[in-house]
Amino acid sequence: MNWQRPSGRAVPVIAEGLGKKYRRGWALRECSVEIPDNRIVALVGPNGAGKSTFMGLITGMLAPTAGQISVFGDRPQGNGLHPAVSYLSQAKPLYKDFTVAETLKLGAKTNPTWDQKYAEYLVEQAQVPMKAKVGTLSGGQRTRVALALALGRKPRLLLLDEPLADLDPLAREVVLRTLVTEARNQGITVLLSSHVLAELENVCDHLLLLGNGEVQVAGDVAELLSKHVVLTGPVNAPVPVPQQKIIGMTVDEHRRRLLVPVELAHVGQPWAPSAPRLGELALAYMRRSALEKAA
Amino acid sequence: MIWVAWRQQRAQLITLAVVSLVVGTALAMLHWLMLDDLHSAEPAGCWIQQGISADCRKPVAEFQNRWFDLMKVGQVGIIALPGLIGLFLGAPMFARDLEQGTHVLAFTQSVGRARWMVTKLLVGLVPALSMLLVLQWLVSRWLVSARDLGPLITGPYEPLTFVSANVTPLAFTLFVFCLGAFLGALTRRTLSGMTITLGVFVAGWAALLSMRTVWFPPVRVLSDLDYSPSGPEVVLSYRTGYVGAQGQEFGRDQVNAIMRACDQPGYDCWRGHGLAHQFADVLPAADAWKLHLVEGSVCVALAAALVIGTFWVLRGRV
Repeated sequence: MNWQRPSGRAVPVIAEGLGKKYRRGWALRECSVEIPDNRIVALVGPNGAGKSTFMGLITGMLAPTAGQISVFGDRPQGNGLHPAVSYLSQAKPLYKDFTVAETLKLGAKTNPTWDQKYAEYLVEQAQVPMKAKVGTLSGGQRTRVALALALGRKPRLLLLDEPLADLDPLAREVVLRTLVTEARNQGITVLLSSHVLAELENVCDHLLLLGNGEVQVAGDVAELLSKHVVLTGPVNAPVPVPQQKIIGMTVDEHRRRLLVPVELAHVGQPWAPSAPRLGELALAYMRRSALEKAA
Repeated sequence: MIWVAWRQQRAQLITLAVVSLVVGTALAMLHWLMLDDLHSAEPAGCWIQQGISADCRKPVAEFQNRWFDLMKVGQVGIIALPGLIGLFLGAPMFARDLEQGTHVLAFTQSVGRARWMVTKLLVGLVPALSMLLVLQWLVSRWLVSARDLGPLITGPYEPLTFVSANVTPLAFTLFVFCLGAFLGALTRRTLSGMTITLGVFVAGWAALLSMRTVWFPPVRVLSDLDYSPSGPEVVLSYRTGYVGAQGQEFGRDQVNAIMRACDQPGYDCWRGHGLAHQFADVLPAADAWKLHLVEGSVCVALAAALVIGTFWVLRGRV
């Protein structure tokens, strides 16, 4: 397999037939996907879709049961994280009795690519006191310190496993804004897993949707959106497209909204086509995957 | 990584250093006070004699009243240290990380798991073993100064003396520390790790003692019927009983029956029933160092196996 682009720059992640099986069954299977460079990738899917497993396989903390995975051309070995990758889990583990300064020192002592000034800049920007013990910080502040620790390694790929889950809306917005700014400025590919689709909509330019342990949708957001259309019509009007072509459908008191491939956009009155939003598209695929699982 | 391991265990290691300093100073002072007592009082002239004369009995008894039990406490301290180090340094070593999820933080830096594990173990172990050696040396110097007026008079196999001497404390510490680290990693709970470590340590120690006759087949010492085999205080006695003239052993029931049958004083009746000697299966005092070495080696080998086991457990943790 060729892990590199013709330009010579290694692709952040390439998975081929990747699978991971636990005792309870397959958490991820037949996953063939590529995470391109310099993107902010939304990793979405219902609980148990395989998102954390996929991240675990990228970090090397999990070993694949089937298939293979490459991270910047290397196979993750589980012997320390790839120097070009940073990982921040939902729990954002930090040593509570360390001060913020000591937490950054930990980063410096355990990472050859560490940028102390940059990490300090990120902490100062978040107005977190360096001498404060991590255990005394608020959830938002702790997330900012964890983010500084992750970004201080100067990664080219940043894995964020639902990092905003326990933050209030204001803190979420600030953290997300910082994240996007730094990712754009530093040319970092971000793989961001979250349940809050509305948040992802504004920041992500690539989508990887998992369901039932398999890849349901993958691609650049603009391209994906251009391939779909939402048809809106009266609730009592006959559905104008074959049932099997409908990806998702929502119904309220007056209207019915159908997400369908863009080829079916011109079905005529009373159905009006419009561009879907990322959240709507992701939700439709998630619902369909849940229905398939139930079936 | 050394700094991170040190910072994580800072509280325990500082406590260890303070305890060592306080206990070490106390031991040095007690040693000095005892020597002063020994030289200023009469026992000093008594210990060089063969046996204690009538004149010496009182001052020796008074000296021993003041110091003997205190020296035993010193030995007990050396015996307790491996357990304390294993419980409070070994068991939380990885259990705390796994309990709080901070192992993920360590595993997602650019440091391999093996290096992380070995560094943490060494940063905890080296100061703990150093402290143990210093304290053991201080206690040993103190005991040797008291010569036959202190606990060493009961020989090298007296349980407190044996376990607190030679390489045994060091080997025990290594074993309990690695046992604690392994069980902590396995259970992922500090408290469970500590509790099971204590239980396994006690069971392991009992198993080790039961293996002594396997490693060192005893030497049989015979004595007359009216004397116990000589020198029980300097040998490790595995078994005692009675034998006939050809060396055949008499069972406990047989001996009891003979004793019931012979109610007159003296041993002629016993001899008439075939008993010729008392025997003791023993390990001579001169072999004590071998026993230390063998038991110590077993502990070190177990510790090495536990380190490998810990790595195996940690490798599978996510």
